[in-house]
Amino acid sequence: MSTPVVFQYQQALDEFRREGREPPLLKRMSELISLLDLTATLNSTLSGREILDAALLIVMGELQVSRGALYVRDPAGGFRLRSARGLPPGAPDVIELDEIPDRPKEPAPPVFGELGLVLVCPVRKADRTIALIGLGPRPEGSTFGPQETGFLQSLAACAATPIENGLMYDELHRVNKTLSVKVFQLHNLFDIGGELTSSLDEEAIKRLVITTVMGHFLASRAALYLLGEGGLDLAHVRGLRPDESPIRLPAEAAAEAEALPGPSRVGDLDSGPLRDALTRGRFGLAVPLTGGARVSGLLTVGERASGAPFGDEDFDYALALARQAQAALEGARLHRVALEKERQDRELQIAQEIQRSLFPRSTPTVEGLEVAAVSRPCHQVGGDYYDFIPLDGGRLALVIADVSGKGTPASILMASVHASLRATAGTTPPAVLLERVNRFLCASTQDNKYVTLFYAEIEPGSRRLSYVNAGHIPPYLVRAGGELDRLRTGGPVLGLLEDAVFEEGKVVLGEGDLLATVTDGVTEALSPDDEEFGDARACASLCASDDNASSALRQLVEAVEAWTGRPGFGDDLTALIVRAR
Amino acid sequence: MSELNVESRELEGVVLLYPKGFVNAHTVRLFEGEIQKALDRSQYQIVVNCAGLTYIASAGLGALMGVIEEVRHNGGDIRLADLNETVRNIFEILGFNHLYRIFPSEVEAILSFRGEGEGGGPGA
Repeated sequence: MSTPVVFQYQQALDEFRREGREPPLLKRMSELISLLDLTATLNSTLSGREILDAALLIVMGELQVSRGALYVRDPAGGFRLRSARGLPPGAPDVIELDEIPDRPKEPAPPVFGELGLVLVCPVRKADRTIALIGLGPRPEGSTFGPQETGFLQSLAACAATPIENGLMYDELHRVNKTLSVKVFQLHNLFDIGGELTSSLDEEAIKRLVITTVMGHFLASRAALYLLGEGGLDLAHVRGLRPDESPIRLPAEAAAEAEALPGPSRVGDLDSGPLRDALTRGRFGLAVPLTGGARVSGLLTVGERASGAPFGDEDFDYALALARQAQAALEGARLHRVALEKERQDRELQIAQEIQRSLFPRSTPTVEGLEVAAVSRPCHQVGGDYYDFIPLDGGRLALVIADVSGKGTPASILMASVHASLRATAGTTPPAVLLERVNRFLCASTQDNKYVTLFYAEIEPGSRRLSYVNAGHIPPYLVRAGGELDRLRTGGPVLGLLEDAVFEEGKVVLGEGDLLATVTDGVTEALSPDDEEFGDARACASLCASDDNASSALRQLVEAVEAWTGRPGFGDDLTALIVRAR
Repeated sequence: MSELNVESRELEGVVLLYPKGFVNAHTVRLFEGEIQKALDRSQYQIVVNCAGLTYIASAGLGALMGVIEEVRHNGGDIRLADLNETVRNIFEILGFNHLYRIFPSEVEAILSFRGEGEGGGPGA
């Protein structure tokens, strides 16, 4: 421990001693050299631990004691043991004193006495005791005289500033390390935040959250559970050994997770299925993901590899990460929903275009007949359909139909009906025609999809009408004289019964007679009081009209609109009117 | 924007990975992918040469934590070599250096696997 300078002084002192100089003076000089040695040593080192060790050892060496302890004032109160030699086992880390000595005390207060320390000397800096040096008994029963305690005070005075510097250095080092960790954590939150907000891939988000939380806590396992139909379902897990299967959470766990106040140590959870499952999965931390008031998931983290317990600071970080994860997952989910909606809209638009192409572009002109028709879907794609099919010999086929369902499936079914009728109309009698179409639909459509349909063929001139009603609302035949007929002959709806048989009905339209076919959008149109428009009102509107086909049609539509009190309708509305002239 | 590339080679049955650039939340999948390739070949003795590694965020540490149980379960290990000061400081303040063996040079890391079995695979 000697420095060259101290060594030179020591040599000079040895020379004096050989020459038989005054012993007390020699002793004082020896002490001065020790003080010099202490100062030089303490100034050449920086770490608090080394300074404290050196200070204690020098004091013990100079006073020839084999037991010593250095207690340093702790910011949290009391004095903390920072360096010790020869102390009995079980010495307390922190000691509390009622009265803090400001000068060497012998005998030492009882807390020191119990450790075999007989003298306590304060290390003082600016009127404040910053540390206490406790020393064991001197050898051979000798006591600490005034000279020894005086020398001890000098040693303590020399050591005070280096000890304070050392403590400050340690504190700076500790703060610096804490700060570095904080900077690193903050950097990580930015790092993952940027990545999460820009990602719309749910799998990538789950993976990143898991990887980040494992890296942050240096935990070798983590899992993410997300709320599904069966409770909290395992969404992602990392760090299991190959022979381990991942832990699934029981259904009751969702309610337990809901009750968590925030990130929680698994060991602190109430006993129950959640705690059992997480303990079995060797998880130490459970972090609920909350979207609004509800729990949307649970992030679970394995114990830290270092074994350090999870503390309040860890909860803060876990909460920040869980919030980011929740927001990113919700963003990605909404994006997926929006994409799905966009796809459906596009599909619907295509269906609508298909359907629109199925309606005839213009109403036909047939000798002796006026024809008018309208179809207004209430949804983008409705289930109503009408058609005029020109046949051989100037005959005309009329079709009105209502297919079950809406949207794309309805438009596909409608296209089938349209195509099969267009391909075969006029080649066989109407009843046979509908039997064929029925068999075709039974074979080609899904169960429980069906069509109500009215099909009629009109001969020009004679105005003879052959028809088949397949489960459709019976068309109204309003005679010029005012009496009303309904065209009911036919059979069941199409598409359900493969062997259905149809019967053909025949009527002759007289001059001025009006034939009106409608769908349930007319008869079942609801008033604001939920009352149906009904047959009676439809008949009344039709009977009141003695004008041409298009005005009769307009009057009917206006009557329905007035009934519902709304410009749109609750259902598709389709009507086809023929008046004989 | 190439923030990271990872080259790999094999020497004496040890897989050597050379990450170059940043391992952060954005690039971690690439880093994980390279480690996973080794595991898929049942190679469990891995050295990550960090000479070109500028920075590693917690996502990167998580990638190492995520496979370490599997690797060690199969008798292998992931060892690190040639850390720059920034990366070494990160490892030290987080205590990562207590969980993974770190060597001054790649050669020392490779030699440390000698006598620890070959590849560490279950069939080896």
